[in-house]
Amino acid sequence: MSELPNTNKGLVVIGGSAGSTEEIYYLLKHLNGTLRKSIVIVVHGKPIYSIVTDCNWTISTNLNFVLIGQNQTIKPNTVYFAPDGYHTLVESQSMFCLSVAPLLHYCRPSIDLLFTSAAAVFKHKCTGIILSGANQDGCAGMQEILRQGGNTITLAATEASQPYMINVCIEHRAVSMVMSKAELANFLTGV
Amino acid sequence: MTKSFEQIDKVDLEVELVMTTLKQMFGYDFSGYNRAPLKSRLLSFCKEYQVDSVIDIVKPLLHSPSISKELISYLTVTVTEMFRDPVLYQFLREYLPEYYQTKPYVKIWHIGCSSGQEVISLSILLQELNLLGGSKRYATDLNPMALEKAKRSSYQLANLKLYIKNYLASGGSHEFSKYYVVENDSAVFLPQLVFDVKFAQHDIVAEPAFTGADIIFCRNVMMYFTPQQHLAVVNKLVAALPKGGLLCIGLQEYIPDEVKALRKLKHGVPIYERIA
Ligand SMILES: C[S@@+](CC[C@H](N)C(=O)[O-])C[C@H]1O[C@@H](n2cnc3c(N)ncnc32)[C@H](O)[C@@H]1O
Repeated sequence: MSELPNTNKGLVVIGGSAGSTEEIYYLLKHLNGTLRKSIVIVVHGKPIYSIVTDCNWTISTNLNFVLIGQNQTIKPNTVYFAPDGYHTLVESQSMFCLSVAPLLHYCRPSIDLLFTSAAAVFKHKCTGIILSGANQDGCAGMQEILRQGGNTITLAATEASQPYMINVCIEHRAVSMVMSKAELANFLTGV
Repeated sequence: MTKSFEQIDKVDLEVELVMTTLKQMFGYDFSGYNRAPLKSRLLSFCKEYQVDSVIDIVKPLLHSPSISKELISYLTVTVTEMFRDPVLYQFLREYLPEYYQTKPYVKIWHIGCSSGQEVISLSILLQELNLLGGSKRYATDLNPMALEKAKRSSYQLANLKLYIKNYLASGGSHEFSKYYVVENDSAVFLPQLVFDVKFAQHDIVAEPAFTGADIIFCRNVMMYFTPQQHLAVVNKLVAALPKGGLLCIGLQEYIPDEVKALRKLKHGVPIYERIA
């Protein structure tokens, strides 16, 4: 999997705690069309890729769903899932990489590590989204995306399964937009 | 060509300066490793040791080389567990008895053994299959601190719960506690489990491979390599294996398409046989 020329229009990183599977289902169900960007989803403590691909969720979409492996190439129009038990990082605009470094905020995968490395590589072409969260993980990553010129969005706290993280991000001025589920689905379809 | 001031990522540059120092002063060459994990490890090193920024690691490194060991331990990521990826051990439990029948003894090489949990896991499996006596093993790692731990085979009791869970998932059915004695807050695994093992410091990137191993474990080590480095090391391992030899890798790792000499033995299990 050698590096391809960069055809990538940007990366959307989405983070959530174990409770956010419902929200992810909603978003994936409403995604349609062709995306110029790539999306990557990281969820704490749940094998989200197998949940999405194994179960009877009826997601009809022309998007590709990919579980991230070692040195995974990043392609547009694809939704990537961070594997459980590993940290996923963005190595370059065309490659993810994995690490089994220690847990961060009791979590592996860590939202902060993914978001921070995505921000360093994609700068203003990086969008960070927090759906839910029960601990601090995610806030530092959102701050870093903002600092590098990207956008940061959270789900409206009233709609989140776990609003704690969203509120922490807002308190730390790490959020540029707050959206409802429907707005978020609409936003993602356009990226 | 020089870049404009805004184009230079200062932290990336600082990371390279640390890498250059490690190479020139201590011979550790990380040029073939992915940058994002190194950078994030250096940043947490700074946090833990209350160093302001990555560049501030260079000076102490130059003047008190003892911190290099600490730093290498940080960068190489030594996190490991027993019976990691139970599907692999489950497969070996079925596969090895017949494999051993074809040979007087089987040589096994654990590359990147870290603190030794992988070695002990295989010991337990071989012991239960009555194959430990027919095995000769090498366990190597780049990181001297990890090797010291491996030689002690002593692990925090708090981790045993995970190890036992993995052991059971891999098809183990013995009383796990017969394999260790408890000392304070540690489980010390029995010396007879590793009597066949020679531990040594070895860098799989910079040094030639040992030849003669029938089975190579190189798990969650190549994950950190750039695609080019990864391909080079896989080719090196293939060349070191005899035909019919086995290569075990990590569950999320892969064998590059260019490598035609390896065949996956079973879907979903990270183990390959050299076929050509
Ligand atoms: C994450 S641990 C994997 C331990 C064990 N194999 C497992 O899968 O649980 C990675 C180990 O590889 C070692 N390592 C990294 N680069 C290496 C190299 N070039 N040569 C030998 N060992 C290396 C590290 O020191 C570390 O102990």
